[in-house]
Amino acid sequence: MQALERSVPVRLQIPAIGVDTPVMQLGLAADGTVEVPPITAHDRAGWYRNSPTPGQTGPSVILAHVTVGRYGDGVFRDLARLRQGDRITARLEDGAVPEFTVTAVRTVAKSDFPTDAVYGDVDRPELRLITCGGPRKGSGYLDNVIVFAALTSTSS
Amino acid sequence: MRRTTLSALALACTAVLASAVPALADGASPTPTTTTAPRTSTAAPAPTPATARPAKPGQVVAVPRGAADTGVAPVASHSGTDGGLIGGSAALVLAIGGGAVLVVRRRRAAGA
Repeated sequence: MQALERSVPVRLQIPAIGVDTPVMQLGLAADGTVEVPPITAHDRAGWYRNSPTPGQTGPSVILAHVTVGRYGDGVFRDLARLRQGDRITARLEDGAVPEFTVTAVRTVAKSDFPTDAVYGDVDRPELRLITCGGPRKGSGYLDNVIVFAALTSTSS
Repeated sequence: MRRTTLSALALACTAVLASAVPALADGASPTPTTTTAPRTSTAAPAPTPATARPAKPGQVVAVPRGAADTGVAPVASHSGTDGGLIGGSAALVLAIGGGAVLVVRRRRAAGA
């Protein structure tokens, strides 16, 4: 599959779980962890700007909350329900629309986060969607849900 | 005897005075030694950085540390449920306690 030029994502759609959200940009927090979208009523997804844009060669990383405290469900509330073969569409700033197909869904302990599998180099355009999951501890969660997807088509 | 004692005392005082070094304020001042303070960085230690990597086209250029904190549990609904349970339990305890007191009073009244 031909890789795309760099263009930041502005929207993410996952029909299988009813996701259609704008995409903001995220960087690194002061402690070196990845930033996450703000806890607001209008939750949205965020693209990690130190990763490739969707459609470029490499792992493009998009994060969103599973729940947003008193505001209820987050954008990725049902991310763990995705299955192999489900489609994910990103809309880029330049008008391109790369479409990805889910290859794997993993729930992992945060204490054993698979950094290499998520952020490591790959030789084709791929996508990683990350949210929280598993048992709760205090106001947070013990696990991360990670969706792995690969580019399957592109339109504009 | 007294003369010997006085002589010994005088000798001792002389020895002490001779060995004492005068503390003169206007004497040669000691040569200042050049002390080089160890070079310490005043900057606060940086937080554990994300792993920076050589820029490769299209790959992750800075790997974040650890997992993503992408969820704040919806506590409101849970606290409401818990509050209802606690309130219900308290009402049940009060009802049982009140009933027990009533029974005891009636038995006492019947016995008297």
